[in-house]
Amino acid sequence: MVRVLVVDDEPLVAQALQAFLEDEGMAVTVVGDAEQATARVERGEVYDVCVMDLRLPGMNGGSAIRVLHELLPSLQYVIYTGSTAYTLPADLAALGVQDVQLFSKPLADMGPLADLVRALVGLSVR
Amino acid sequence: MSVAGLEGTEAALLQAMVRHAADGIVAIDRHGIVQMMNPAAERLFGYEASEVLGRNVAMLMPEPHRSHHDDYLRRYLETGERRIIGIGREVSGQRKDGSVFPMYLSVAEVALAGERYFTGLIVDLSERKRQEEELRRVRTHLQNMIDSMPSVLLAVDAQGRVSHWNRAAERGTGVAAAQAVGRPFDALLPELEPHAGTLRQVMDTGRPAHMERLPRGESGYMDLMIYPLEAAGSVGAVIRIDDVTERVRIEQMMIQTEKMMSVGGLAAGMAHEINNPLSGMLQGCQNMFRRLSPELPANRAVAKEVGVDLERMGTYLERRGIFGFMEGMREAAQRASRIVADMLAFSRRAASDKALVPVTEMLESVLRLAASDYDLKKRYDFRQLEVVRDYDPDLTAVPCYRSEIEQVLLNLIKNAAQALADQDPAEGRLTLKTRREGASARIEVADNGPGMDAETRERIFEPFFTTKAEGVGTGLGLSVSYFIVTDRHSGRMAVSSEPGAGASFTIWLPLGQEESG
Repeated sequence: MVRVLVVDDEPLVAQALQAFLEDEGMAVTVVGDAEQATARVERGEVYDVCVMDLRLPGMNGGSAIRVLHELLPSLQYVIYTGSTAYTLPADLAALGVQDVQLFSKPLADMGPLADLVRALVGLSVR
Repeated sequence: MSVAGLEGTEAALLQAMVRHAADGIVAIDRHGIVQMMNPAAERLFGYEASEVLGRNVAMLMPEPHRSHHDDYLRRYLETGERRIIGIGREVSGQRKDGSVFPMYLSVAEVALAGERYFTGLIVDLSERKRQEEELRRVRTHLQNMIDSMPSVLLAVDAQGRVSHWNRAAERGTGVAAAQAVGRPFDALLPELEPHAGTLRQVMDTGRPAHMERLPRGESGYMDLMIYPLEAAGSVGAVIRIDDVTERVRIEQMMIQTEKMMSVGGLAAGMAHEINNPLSGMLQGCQNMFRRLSPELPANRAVAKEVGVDLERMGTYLERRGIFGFMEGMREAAQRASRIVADMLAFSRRAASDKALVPVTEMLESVLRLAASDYDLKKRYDFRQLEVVRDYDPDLTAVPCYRSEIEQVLLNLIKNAAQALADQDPAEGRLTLKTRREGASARIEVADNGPGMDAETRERIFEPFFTTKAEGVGTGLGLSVSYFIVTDRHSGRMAVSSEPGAGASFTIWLPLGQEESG
């Protein structure tokens, strides 16, 4: 079963995503900020994919990715953001995050996002 | 000649007075023959007394007086009519070297030993005349300086009456200087009436006053400067008015632009705030549809647990229109997200390169943007507006700066909607037409509103010219649009309109190498 960590401070968005991905047969955990995400991973919790919002209350999504990558190198990322003018910074690209892993809010259809999650897990397993 | 009948010292004094007088003294008999000429007169005329004594005084005069002096003298002796006797007058004298000079002559009649004599007192006016000429020259020069200034410049006395009125003041009021002098300043320039108190203060305290951007007339602005003037002990002031209407308008426009630019920044922040709840709505809708479907195994499992027939429930939901409402919500949320995306794209800074932009896509996105615009002064109902589209299938894309052409199209469409605002909304029609015309893309925005008369049509692209009420628009939209099309894109822009027959604005944009031919 694919283990997904959703990091988003908007409960409505996070829970809707969780419902959809659970219907797809995945195990989904939701946290409201980057600090809770890193705390869980530090505690030893393992995830396959993290769906990360960029604008978060404390540490922002970009920094969170850098921190999490140190803690759990196998973790893959989908960036799901309401910011409209975002381009991938060079250092995140160097970590392996690609443009295709960027999704813009609002999403009328979460299907492609779920497909990507599966593809990422497929990649890392290979 | 001796002075009989006087005591010795008095006579000597008199003689000395005449000899040493600074002004010329000449005495003649009733025939005009010179009897006496003092040294000052000698110096004035350049003669030795001996050259003049015994000859006719007319030799000291230039023509025409030289020839007529005998007649003047004779007439006086006969008629007693005083022309100069006992009076003084400015005349000309002629020196030995032939040069003529201005002099003041006063003549007295003397009776002595039964004879009639005339003594003339001569004051040389050369220097004074020279100074007067110099003064006149300087005055004219100053006057030219004051008249050449674009500012309205006037001087007033302590009672506020005009003492000086420059050409700009004449032009501005239509009152000539000759008519203005002596009149109260606020009668001639009513816009200065509220500042009479300040004028008083300047004259009382001797401190100048400087006021900027004061309202002037209907919709203008002026800078007003009042300087105290003290001349010959009397107080007055100089008032200077500069029309700064255009400068103030430009400043207001700059502030507005700044505001709009900061709104662009606000828009970006707002977009994120709106995108989150929109996403919640859309994602929620998708989940609702999915979890109402009998196809998902998880749904069937829970339905069985609870004892619900999913198919039956689906029928119920369908018949009660629940799915219809959900679909409507989904569509509404999508429309909202499109508006946000359009507005964001519009307010983002212009791309530095021209790009090939699909024409109809641009028109449609601008139309959506205009429809969501809420005009506070007048509500024009876009929903009732009939939009007629006449798009040329041969015209696909045009090279342009997208955000700039969108700005032009938005300006035209908003103007059209505002023109239709006063009519019955159901009758309003907006026509959007595109045509490929040789090497150009032609885009036309037309309305069936009241149209414009010739005078408005001629001025419609002028900066600050507006037919809208005060505060609605800056009057710059069309002039900026014109600039964008003609200057930034080397295109053309034209208007066609008749009163009562609507208006149509057309822009032509060059297609460039790839698209034309």
